Amino acid sequence: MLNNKIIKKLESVVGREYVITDDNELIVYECDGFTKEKHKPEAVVFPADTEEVSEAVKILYNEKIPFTARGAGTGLSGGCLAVYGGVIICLTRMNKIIDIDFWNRTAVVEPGVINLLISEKISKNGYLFAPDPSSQQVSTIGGNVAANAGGPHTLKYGSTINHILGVEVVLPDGTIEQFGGKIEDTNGFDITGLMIGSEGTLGIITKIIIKIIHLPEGYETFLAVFETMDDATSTCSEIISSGIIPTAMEIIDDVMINALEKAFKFEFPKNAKAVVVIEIDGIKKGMARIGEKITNICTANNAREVKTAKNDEERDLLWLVRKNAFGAIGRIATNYFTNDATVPRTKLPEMLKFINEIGIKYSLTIANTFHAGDGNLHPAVMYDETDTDQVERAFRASEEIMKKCVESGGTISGEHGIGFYKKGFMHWIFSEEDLKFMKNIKKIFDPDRLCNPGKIIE
Amino acid sequence: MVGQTFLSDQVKVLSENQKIMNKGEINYDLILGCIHCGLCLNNCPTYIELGLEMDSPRGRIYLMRALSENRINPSESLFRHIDLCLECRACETACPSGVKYARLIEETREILEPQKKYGSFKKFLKSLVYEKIIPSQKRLLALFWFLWFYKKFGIQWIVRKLKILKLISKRLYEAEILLPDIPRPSKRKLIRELMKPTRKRRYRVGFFKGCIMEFMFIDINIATVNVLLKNGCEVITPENQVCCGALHIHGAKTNIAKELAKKNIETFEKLNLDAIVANTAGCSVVLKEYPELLKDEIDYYVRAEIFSSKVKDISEFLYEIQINDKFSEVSMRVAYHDSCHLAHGQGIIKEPRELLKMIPGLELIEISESDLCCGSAGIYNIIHPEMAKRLLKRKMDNIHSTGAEAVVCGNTGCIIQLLKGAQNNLKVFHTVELIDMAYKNNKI
Amino acid sequence: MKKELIDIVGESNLIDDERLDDYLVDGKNSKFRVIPENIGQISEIMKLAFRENLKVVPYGSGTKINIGNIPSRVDLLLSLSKLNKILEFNPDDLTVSVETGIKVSDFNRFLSEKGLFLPVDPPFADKCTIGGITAVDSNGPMRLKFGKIKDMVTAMKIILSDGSIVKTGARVVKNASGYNISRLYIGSMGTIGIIAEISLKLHPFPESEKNALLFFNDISDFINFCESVRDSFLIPSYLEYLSPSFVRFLPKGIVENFVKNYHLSLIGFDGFSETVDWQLEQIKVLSKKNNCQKTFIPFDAGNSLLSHIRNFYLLFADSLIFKVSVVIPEFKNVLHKIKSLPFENKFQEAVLSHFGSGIIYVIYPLDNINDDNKVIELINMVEDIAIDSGGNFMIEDIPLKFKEKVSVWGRKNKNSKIMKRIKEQFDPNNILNPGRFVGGI
Repeated sequence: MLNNKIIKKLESVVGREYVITDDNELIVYECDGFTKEKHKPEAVVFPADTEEVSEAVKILYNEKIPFTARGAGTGLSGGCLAVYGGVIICLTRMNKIIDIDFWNRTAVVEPGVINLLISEKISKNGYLFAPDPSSQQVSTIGGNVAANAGGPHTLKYGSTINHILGVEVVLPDGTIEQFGGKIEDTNGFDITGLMIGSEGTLGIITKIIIKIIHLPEGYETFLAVFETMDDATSTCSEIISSGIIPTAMEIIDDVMINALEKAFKFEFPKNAKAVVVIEIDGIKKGMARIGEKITNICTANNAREVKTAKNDEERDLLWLVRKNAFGAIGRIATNYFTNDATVPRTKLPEMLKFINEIGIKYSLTIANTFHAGDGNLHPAVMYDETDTDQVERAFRASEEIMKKCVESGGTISGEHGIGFYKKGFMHWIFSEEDLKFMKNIKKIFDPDRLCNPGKIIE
Repeated sequence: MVGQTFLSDQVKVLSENQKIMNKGEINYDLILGCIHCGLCLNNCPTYIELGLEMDSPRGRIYLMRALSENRINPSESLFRHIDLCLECRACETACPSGVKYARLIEETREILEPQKKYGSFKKFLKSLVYEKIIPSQKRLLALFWFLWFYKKFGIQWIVRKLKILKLISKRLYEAEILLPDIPRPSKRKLIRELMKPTRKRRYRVGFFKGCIMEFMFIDINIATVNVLLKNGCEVITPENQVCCGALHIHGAKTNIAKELAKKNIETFEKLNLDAIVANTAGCSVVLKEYPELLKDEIDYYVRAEIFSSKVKDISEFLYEIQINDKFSEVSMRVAYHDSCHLAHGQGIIKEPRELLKMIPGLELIEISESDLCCGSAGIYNIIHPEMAKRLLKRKMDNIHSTGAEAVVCGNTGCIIQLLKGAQNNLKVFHTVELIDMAYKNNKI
Repeated sequence: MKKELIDIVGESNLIDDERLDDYLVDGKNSKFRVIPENIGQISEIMKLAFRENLKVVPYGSGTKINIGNIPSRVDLLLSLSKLNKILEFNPDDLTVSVETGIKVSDFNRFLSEKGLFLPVDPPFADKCTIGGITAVDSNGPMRLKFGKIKDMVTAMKIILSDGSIVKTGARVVKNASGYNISRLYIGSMGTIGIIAEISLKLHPFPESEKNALLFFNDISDFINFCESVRDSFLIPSYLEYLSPSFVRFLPKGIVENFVKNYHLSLIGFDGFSETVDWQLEQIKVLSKKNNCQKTFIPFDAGNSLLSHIRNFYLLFADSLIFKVSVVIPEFKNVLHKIKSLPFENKFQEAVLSHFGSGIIYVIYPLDNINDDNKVIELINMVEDIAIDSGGNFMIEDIPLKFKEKVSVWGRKNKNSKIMKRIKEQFDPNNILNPGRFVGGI
């Protein structure tokens, strides 16, 4: 239990104004983007630097009080819930970009830096941080690393894990370790790789060395309109198998188009069942031919029309609309539930049919906006939380979809992480032995199970 | 099966929450519009500055919800976080779900207001300003005559030197510093009730002069009328118009705001106008929302709708009527600051920029975080000087770093605040002043 | 013991002592050599080894077996050469799952039928196995564009030291379900488990591949050239640097006219033919701008030269090969420091660099060197140069008699405490490749 003595100690580390213990204030820290479960922490501390994190963690480690790192709290799987109470260590104050090195195409940042701010800062020099989760305007790089976040453009550029060179971590006993570095090849086990996607259960990341990439010379963004979802998914599948890897390939279905239209008045084509946003980037020379190939595949799959973004403004708007899709669900429902199960891309047509059937079976509206190029689904099952029966149906529907994805050779999370929400489903994809293997990883770093306990495998 | 039990546990938790849910006076449906995605966080000035969830739109809505569901009780900390909101509405711009945040925060403040314990002096001051002075043209006039004398005859100098106000109230002291130069109050007579354009009349326009504007920034008002006249507008400025009610709404005095709204509707509706133009974004945004304010008043709701449909911000109006572009050169490097009530409250972002770009010689500079609040926010800079100062510093850093000669915006509150922060001879203008300048061939 | 092994894999899968010399590990004999045919057999072998405390060395085709420190003991050499099946191939999905004993060359030949390939180009690609290059994290010049093997692995099946079989990751291209344990095993030198199956992401085979050979007077010109490439929109698949001394070791006829001491750069592009051609045109412009003395654009013998670069180890028998990784601004500095080492021309270094990836191979041919102490001194000095410049250091190749006296991973190691804990957790009896890895792991 957290007592006054410990709170005093924490205050002496981070400063009095940076420790929250008031009940009315703590309540806002009881959940993140996943609102179905609520766990109020006993205190929230806001350290300013690695040393403060380390000192705070040492105090908690000695007192055997659980602690959980938190960034902007936009996670969708309850990764930063204080499941066993204890202390939330919120890293929003650690928001400095420490170093940008264009020669090596790296930057050193603190975990509280907002993802998009990095790209904004380096874009005038012609650079970009590639991982672009839809929450990038608010989510922190620390959270992205913890969840191994993805985004539309991971199709070509890879997920967060492909863009991290090193991390500084405060281990659960408070010691500070640096793994990896600006140089990609370092001797020893690749612990950096292990840390990414570990959802804050192996330690608290306090510095991150990221890769930055050169902005491409040009973009070409297409919007293909389809009468049936089947045509849309087949198109995506065919583009990949034709040997083209676009930068991004996203499908938005009619339910979501409706919500987005209310929010942004983008003027999506009326009565379309699905639109596919396809983007290619790179050297301008040769792009026309790729564009032609893509257009041909769309047309061969009965696309009603294929539009091209005329300028940067149109392209930016299209992405703004896409990235705000989940936020816009509030226009058509009070609650929704999304998962991010991933299937082999060839299974997309089959899966989308299944999702449709599930919607009918449970009489629920399900919207789909997803990373078709990666086979990464995002069925948003909508419900009204004041209707208990509906809530239960929504849970079941979502669960059934995930299960089907696993049966199709997929997995239960492509980019949101397991967190609290999906830990009960881990046994669908992993055997007892596999899970024990993961528990042993946890044991190496956190034998006392203090660091973000109750997540992924616990 | 593990998954199954896990889910049914969650369902149980939810239904228990349901039972204790007790819908308070805050519009609960509006609260439910927030799906907790958090996309608003980084648009919120207080969150950007503090990094605290309680001081973010999502966090505040969460607090409102907890309050409605009786999960928390009003407390000092709750008041603090609800009050620290600037009501800049940047979160509304960011929110893909279209949550009506401003309405929620106003309702919440209204509900919390009676539960706050104010000192008697503060109470007296509050009622004096809100109930006695602002609604009354005469009292305002008297106040500004006093202030004019205060500035003009060296009283200010003495007061500042001796730091007299600091002894009375720190806030009053802070407020006094904000006080800009005040033109002679009689200057307002330059705007007559009916002014006709020299050439053919295209529109009949009502001018909403703004209660404070009229005394503090009469020059902007004069510029506005000039520009309207240059664009073939017949300008009517009714003498008996009153304050729009913005300060009352923000200050949790909705009832007074409603009375003011009714008075304004009555005044303008009989004038047979094409448009009602205001030059202060803080006013125009409220005028546009009269139907919302008067939604429960059967006698007034429809009239409010008609009234509000005619309300235009000056830049919006000039852009729509395709401004007369016979400009002379104004060579100046100008940074544009998006006033919250213009950009977020009314979505007017493009219009003023396009207008300014038409002026030959004028170089329009984009500043970073252009649409982040400057900290003015009505009387926020008086009530929360600390946060206001932080935001002002941020804003001024963003402006100064561009090397602009002047900053331009479309709201009085911002102008007062920016004047306070301006260094190195940085000038502060209202958009309409620059347009007026371009008509006058007035190089500076 | 032998009987038990025969019971597991069958007599024919035991390699007898006559062929012992083909399977030496850093000159060490092994007691037994087995070739299991499937994962179940590996598991049984490991259970036996775990019980009997047999020290096990996993073995692919032996092309990388000399990397790492000398193992403290080799009881059982475990060859994966019969685990060479393709388990699941989804060409339309650009994914594949294979057993790790498959040879990289066989694998790519198989993929090419469907117009796909795995974009890794390790040394000895004709012989080495997928498991081998994963275990030692072996890469080649193409990593500049395509990344390392770690960027392509999506899932693994691993046999732990106690014989249990575990799985990591998922056979899809994007995954955030559970810990990324695969990453821990890539480059782990077989010290914490045996990787038996791997799932990989594939790439479509490019329509066109071309390269250019450029001759520079000095390193500064070369670096300026690289800087202008960096600031352009070009996307080279590799950008190699060859020092004048390195060039001398190349077989005759590949690079004509290297009488003068030119610094060479081989830069390659792949993709759509018009895109590749456009980039080569740009290289013409950039090379002219940066004082390039001579160019071959495109370079006809490019593939041959590239192959010699990938397999440069063959050019330097009995040599000391350092792999130094530094941040790019340190490149010139490091080369300068190495050149100025105080050995009065006793050692003549050749340098090859995957420039852009920050990898510098510093090679010292050791024929005619008799002074052992001087060699150790040299090793320590090169390490100091690498570490002082904030870089990483390892010895990739070293004659056995010196290897006994040094750690190929250098004298100082980071994170040794946590690494030991990892080793202890997954190999508590220390039976997997003991002593080979960093910090005595």
